[in-house]
Amino acid sequence: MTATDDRVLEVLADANPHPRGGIPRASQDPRAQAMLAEILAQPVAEPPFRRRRHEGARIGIRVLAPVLSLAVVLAVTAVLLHAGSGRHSVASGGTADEVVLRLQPTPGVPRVTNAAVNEEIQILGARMKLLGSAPVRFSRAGDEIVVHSREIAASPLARSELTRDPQVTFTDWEQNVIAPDGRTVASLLLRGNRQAEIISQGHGGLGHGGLAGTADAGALPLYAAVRLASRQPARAAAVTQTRRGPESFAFAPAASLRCRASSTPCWLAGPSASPAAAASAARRAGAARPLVLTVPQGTTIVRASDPAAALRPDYPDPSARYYVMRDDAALTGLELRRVSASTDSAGQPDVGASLTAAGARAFQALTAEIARRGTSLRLAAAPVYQHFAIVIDGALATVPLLNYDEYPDGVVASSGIQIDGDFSQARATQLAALLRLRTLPLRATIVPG
Amino acid sequence: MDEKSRRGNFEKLFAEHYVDVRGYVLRRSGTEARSSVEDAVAETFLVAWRRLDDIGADPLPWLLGVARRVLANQRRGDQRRLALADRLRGTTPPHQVLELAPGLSDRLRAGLLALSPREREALLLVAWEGLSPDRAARATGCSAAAFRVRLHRARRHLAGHLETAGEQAGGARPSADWPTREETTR
Repeated sequence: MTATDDRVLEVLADANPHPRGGIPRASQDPRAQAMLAEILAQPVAEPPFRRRRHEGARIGIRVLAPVLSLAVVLAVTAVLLHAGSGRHSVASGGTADEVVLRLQPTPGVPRVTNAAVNEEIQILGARMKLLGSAPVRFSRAGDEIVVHSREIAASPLARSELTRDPQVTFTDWEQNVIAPDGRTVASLLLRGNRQAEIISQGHGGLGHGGLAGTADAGALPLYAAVRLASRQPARAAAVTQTRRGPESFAFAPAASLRCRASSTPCWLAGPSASPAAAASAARRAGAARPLVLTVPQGTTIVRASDPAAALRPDYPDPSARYYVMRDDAALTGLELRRVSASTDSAGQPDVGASLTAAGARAFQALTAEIARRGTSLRLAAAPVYQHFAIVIDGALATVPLLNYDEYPDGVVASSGIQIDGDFSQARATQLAALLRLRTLPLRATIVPG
Repeated sequence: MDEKSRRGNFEKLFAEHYVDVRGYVLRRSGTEARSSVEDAVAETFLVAWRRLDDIGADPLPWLLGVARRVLANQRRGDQRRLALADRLRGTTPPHQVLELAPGLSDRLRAGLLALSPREREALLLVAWEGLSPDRAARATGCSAAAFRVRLHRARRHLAGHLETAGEQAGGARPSADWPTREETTR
């Protein structure tokens, strides 16, 4: 609801000619008491309708046709009304036939515009189609959209998909990933820092690209990653960030009762919006004195790429590994169009996508910067391939390398891109499906009924 | 339901919603003639008494829906009587059966009357009767989705009407507390 909408209702409410407080209650109004007594004296049953008998037995076709037509029209109307009337049996989020979503701005889309709402509807339609739903009708009412589908209204999975906000971002890997000493990997590569080389090139060392971003290429346990992130300076808000404000995590001390099996502090709660919220959640989980760390705005924790794991952080899992990155997306899933799994010329599964014009420009700028850095590193040392990362929902989906010999000026993406990543067919298909869902331009929440 | 519990349930319903139904009728009546208001309120509760078993867990939308139809019937009857009287006098009908209580500013009244009856009713159910959009949808007998669309359009149309009225009056705002166009697009 916009300011204008609110104002209209306020102006009208102020002009109410008979405010509720000015009308006497039934118990205080003698007219009401008389009225009640009169009604209670009335018989309950209404007078029966009089049925007219047809004096003539024959009903000609000229009479029958309009009667039948009327009956058909009434029946169809009744069915439509029944279907459209909405039964109010669903506890929240509209009726049994529909789900009402309220749209709110996001850092990247600061206003609810027509274009953003249309984009939102298109993505939600694609999500529902992927779930196997029949084509869904959407209608818009200001900053709300209504999803007209009994099937979706009845499905908890579909309802959660309507509001799920997968963050898909493309980001410069070496420029943003943070080495254990707190500096970016890109800034350390020229100095021959071994940790930075492992994070950039994978565990096999220089020249063995393809393993960057995996758990055994310099990733950290959650506590170590959060501690490293908490020491980063807070950065000013920018539209390229995926998160506003800090986020706090609470841990149980190593070897404490809650954390017996672990040599490092283990996760209890978070990410929360404040240290107090994380501590409170940890205390509810039974920890008397939790360790609370706060990751400032502009820094983020991402789960290492793991083909065997789901594409999301799994904080309670002590075996999961994480990287610390600057929160600085070069482009987001909003710029993607027509994503599909395919195979390259060698028969290797890959993911193809086309980009919007703005997305193609951003992707070329991103890859040109990566190529420029790769070229300068090559001059200084052995070939050092550089990468960009695709992050989905806080997990590294893949960290593809860029061949700067082939693309010294970046990838001209106006006709689409192909992403290789040593994918299995299943992983390529999964990645394509996730990318296809793209980022919702506006945050959607279900309006309680 | 036995007779005693039926009476008890109705008395409770009447006590809880008399103010709401009377207020609704007063706000939607162009006249404050006591007899018309009394008749419409009594007729609404008489229908409720006869159909007590059909009323769901949330009776107010149902009651307001009945009151709306009762008032519509009253208006049709009034219009027929007035039209007949005018024909007998040989004059063009000067009368209009109003659907809004006196006491509104001319501009707001004009703005509300410029809306379609459905849009006006959607707006007033929310603004005057204080119903949520879902409850108001039940009062009007349409789906929640249709109601929300209708309500949104009504708000837009009324806001546009009030702005236009303000500009035609020399650029002044429709009322002292009406926001300027710049404020509304922020």
